[in-house]
Amino acid sequence: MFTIAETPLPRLLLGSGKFASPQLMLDAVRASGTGLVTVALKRIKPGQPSLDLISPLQQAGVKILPNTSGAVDAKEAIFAAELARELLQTNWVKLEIHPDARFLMPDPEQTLIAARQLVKLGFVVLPYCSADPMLCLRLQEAGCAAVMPLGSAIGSNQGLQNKAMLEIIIEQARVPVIIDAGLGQPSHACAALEMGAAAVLVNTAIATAADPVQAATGFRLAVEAGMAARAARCAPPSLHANASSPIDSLLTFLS
Amino acid sequence: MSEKIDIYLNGDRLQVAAGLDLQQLQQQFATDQQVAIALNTEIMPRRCWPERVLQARDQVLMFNLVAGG
Repeated sequence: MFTIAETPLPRLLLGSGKFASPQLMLDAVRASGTGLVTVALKRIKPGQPSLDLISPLQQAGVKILPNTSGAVDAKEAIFAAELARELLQTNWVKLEIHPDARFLMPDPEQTLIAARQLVKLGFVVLPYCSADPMLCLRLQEAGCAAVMPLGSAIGSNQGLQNKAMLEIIIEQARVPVIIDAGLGQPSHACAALEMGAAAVLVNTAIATAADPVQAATGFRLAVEAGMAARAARCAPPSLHANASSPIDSLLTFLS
Repeated sequence: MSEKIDIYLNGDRLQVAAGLDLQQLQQQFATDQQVAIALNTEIMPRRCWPERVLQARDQVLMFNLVAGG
């Protein structure tokens, strides 16, 4: 567990998007052992029936984290955060501003502007951001409760493409670093935790797997493995071989 | 026949009965109870909905929660 705003959370966080059915999403949430699931806001289509997504999640005992996905600038993101606060009675928000639909890269300038404003408005801000060490420092200084740099593009399953930058971000951070976006395999999550990330947020890799419940189980175990590796303080790599079995006495005997 | 006014709901023009308040509008058009409403870009707390009677040309935005990452 790690804590945000004095709330203990498991180290695997889930997004609720892209699941084939709400039931499958709930089953995956349970299998993942997560305590926090993200949701998005959408304009309703008048008169069209909508699924009640929130009650089953709340019954499953998980915290709901609304995001500002769809916002293209700071103004829209702040508006979305305020709507979500009104709707869910939560001051937590996953700040997301990605105006470019092709790569969904977070807009660093608008994200920082929105983060500063949202913190002033009393929000617990978790910003999705580029894997930029200076930006993460600025977001931390702005009062964000965590930083959420991307491993690679949203939904790309490419894993930790920004590894060197993520290591610097983790080294500098005084707030939890949650690796968000791009994790495609449980091994990516394990590597993130081994690197020192506080947590990972996974959506696409679980939701679009042929068996999302198995994928959720895999990610849960990978996060556990990553934390065990951290606790073990495994020896660093070396250029030379170091024998694991005795090799000298056998050669002496033959000569 | 009761009087009607035109409002905009999520950008679409809509005819509703004059005197309709935000709570009645939500009950009429949103099947989901978990909804947030902005009236002319001002976010309206749920407790205010019954008091806010719609005026002609009001712009109402109504949001619910959906799956997302």
